[in-house]
Amino acid sequence: MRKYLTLLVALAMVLGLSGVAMAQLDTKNIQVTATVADYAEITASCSDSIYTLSGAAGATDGISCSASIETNCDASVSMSATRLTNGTDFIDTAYSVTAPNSSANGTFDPDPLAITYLDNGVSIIAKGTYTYSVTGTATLGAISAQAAGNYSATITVTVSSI
Amino acid sequence: MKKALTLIVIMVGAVIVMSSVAMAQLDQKPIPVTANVAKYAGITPSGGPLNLLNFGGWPDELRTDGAGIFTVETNTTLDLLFDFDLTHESDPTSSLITYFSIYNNTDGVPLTPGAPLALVQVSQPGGNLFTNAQAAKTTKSYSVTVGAKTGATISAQEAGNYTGAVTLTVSAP
Repeated sequence: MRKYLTLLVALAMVLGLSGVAMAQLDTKNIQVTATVADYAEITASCSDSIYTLSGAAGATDGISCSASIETNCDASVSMSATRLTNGTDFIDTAYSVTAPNSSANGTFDPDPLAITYLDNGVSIIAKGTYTYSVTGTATLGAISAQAAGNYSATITVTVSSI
Repeated sequence: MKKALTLIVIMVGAVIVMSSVAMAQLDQKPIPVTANVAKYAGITPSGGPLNLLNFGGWPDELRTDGAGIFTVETNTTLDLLFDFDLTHESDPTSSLITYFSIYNNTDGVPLTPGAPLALVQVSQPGGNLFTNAQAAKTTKSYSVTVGAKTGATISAQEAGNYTGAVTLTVSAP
């Protein structure tokens, strides 16, 4: 009996000691924060970026491009274009945009008219990936209104946070 | 007063900072676009048909007519090739000796020597070539006076009707 009692006391001491060793003495939090900046990327490509024009008066041809925009924030999208020129002569162009939201579809003409995509504003997008299609049409004037040869222009796609 | 001014300056500054934050540009990509305009020219004839009327049939008889006009519009420099032939309608081997004068009405410049009054014999075969005769991006009008002469002997020129045309061919050098 005495033997059992000694064993019980020993067991209690072991348990007591381990309880002291695991005693929570203090706890503190260190705050961690992160800021993800507004960010967006544009990937532009064209299935056809060359206007091929016969030279005849009123000849027309089109191009077709797209801009994929991935954003992590609310953003606005705008587009503009320079005039199609060989440095001396100019060719009339007009551009049309098909937006992910059809109500944001619009048109724009090259500078110097300085009308950018959606005259009344810009297309608004939220976090996500969006594809805008851009088609352009070039139309020649009279035969002698522009020299034969190569012309160039640039369409610019801009995404801004709002 | 000083306090009010400071307040205004701070407010203006805040507005500027806020507006720049609101419109921060995140990305911008150019999409290059090119165009190629092919060499092109158009010819509009007018003033025809020309009629050299009736030849008497005697040797070396020359008859003339004029007022045929070619209007040429181009977007590139052009060579001009004028040709003129008159061939017996039932005997293609028999033809009259042809002449013409070519005059650039737009600039008042003769293409053939002495045009528009003097005639030159048409080079055969092929006609008369004028290289780099018209500049790019221009519209010019050329008047053509034509002439034809019978052969040196009566038997050299078969009787009958002769038909043909003044032909202008434009090409890029």
